[in-house]
Amino acid sequence: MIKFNESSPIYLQIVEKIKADIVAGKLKGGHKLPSVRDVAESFRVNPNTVQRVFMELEREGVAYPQRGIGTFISEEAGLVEKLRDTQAQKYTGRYVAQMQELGMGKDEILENVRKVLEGNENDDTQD
Amino acid sequence: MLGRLITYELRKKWKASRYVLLGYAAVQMLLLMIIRVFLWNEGIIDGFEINSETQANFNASFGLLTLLFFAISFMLGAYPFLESMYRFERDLSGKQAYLELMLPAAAWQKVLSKLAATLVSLVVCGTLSLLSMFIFLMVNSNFRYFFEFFDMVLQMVVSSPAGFIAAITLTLFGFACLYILIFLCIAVAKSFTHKNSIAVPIGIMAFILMTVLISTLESQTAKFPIYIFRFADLSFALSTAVMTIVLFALLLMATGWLMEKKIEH
Amino acid sequence: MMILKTDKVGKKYLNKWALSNVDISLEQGKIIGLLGPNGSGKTTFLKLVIGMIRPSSGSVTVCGMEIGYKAKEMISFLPDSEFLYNWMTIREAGDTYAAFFKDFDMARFNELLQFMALTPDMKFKGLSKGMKEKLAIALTLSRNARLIVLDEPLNGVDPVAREQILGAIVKSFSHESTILVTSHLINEVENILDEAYFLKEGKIVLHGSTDDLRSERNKSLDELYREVFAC
Repeated sequence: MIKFNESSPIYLQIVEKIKADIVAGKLKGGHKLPSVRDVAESFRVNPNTVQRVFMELEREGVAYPQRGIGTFISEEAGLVEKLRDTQAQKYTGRYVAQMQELGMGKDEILENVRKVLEGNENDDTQD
Repeated sequence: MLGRLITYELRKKWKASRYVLLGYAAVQMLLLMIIRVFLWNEGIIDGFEINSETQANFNASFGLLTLLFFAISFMLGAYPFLESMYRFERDLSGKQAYLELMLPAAAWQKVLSKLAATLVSLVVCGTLSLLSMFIFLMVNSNFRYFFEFFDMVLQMVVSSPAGFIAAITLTLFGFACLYILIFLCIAVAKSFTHKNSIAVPIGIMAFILMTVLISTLESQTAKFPIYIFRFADLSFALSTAVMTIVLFALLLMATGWLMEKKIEH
Repeated sequence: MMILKTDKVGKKYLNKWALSNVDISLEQGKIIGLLGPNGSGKTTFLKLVIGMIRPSSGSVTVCGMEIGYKAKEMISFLPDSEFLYNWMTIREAGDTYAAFFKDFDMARFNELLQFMALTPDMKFKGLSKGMKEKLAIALTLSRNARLIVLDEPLNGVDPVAREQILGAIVKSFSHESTILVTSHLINEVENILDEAYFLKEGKIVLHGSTDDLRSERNKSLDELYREVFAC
């Protein structure tokens, strides 16, 4: 179950969730995705929305349909890396845009990122 | 569909009436036993042969209990009448009105099924009511007239079986006409409003008006019989018979039409 | 094919219009929400659709037919109040539906009962409010009707039952039919809707596909709803 973000279309959010699962290794190339109905049921969303999710995944080459069997995650080499890159670009882009809204410049943004990362490392060493 | 509707209506009747019937049986059985034990204690074999020497207070209590027994029997006879009116009213504007109106059947079939269930309950309750009065008389008179009674009934049936059947059919049809008229009046009232403080007077007014209208029509058509036919000691004017049947169908259709087209929820 | 089409439909009580000039067209295979606060005319509209009341103006057709008992065969309706008899057990309620509705799917009914943790031997009288609602939903969704109309299916039930009811709606959704659902709990239903109609004081004030509404205005339906109905 995921908590849907308020304003972007739900189908895109599910697409992102599935991509994130692929990047994290929860879904692997060649794996069969659950049926539209099962996905709809587990997310409690409209089956038409899930249909759209599958279409979007197919359009982006992340998944492919096998007639009468189901939809499978693409086995294309470098898929995970590609997705990781695009997701990373997207998240970073979002972060940078938000920082820029606060009036931060390039150096300040980098400085902040470094601080957070170092803070995390310190936390890790304390454990 | 009509068959399924009738089964459904009968189930509803049974579920609504079973405790009433059970209660009735229990109360009457108790009363009967009290009276019988009473009589035995007084050394009386036949309760209906009490002579003037018996004590006055015994007479009074026996009379009172008997009266109570017959009153309750009579109430059971009247029960289907009241229950049907109540049920029909609830079907139109109660909580279950949604379910009733969702059923995919022509409205006249729904009305007809309710009418059929009502007649069945009338026959059952009427028979039980008469039967319990009969049992009362038999038990308290020490089965004095038992054979005479059966003889009488048997002779009535044997001497004119057709007449017997005709009498029963006519009685039932008479009740059916009365009920459909009542149903129509309830439907008329409900198509104005669901507020019973207004709907009940409208219904009663409609009933009086319709009764006057129909009896006028009947007496007028009786003047022009066209043809008079006899059936088992009874004579009928063809005109009146045809008109009664036509009226019955019209009332049925009108009730269905009001349910389908006029009553709002 | 249009499952439901209303043309400038209106309903007048005495001299007040409870509903006016409502144009709604529902396509096959969609879940559509009719959203608005209490008293906005949602139930009045649904009653017009199922033929409980008749329009003062305009027209309503289901699969191209005027509302009559033939049209009723194609509509499965969930009222927002109790409508079953106290003496019924869950099984008897199912049997009653099976006897009257040709499109009733007993296997699906049993599956839905299991899904919602109801057993057939329970008596209607002894059920809690949430269980009654779940039973009513199971009955309504077990019909393969062209139009399924759910009036406030989440009203007055706890969050767990809400999840089950939403799950049941998604589970039994079919591309052959259309589901029209009313609610004032926008947050709960917005994820299952293809389209939404906002009804305010008897008029449609906003209509669109939920994805479009969300991305065009960058707001959730719930936020939009608060905006539209804020006094």
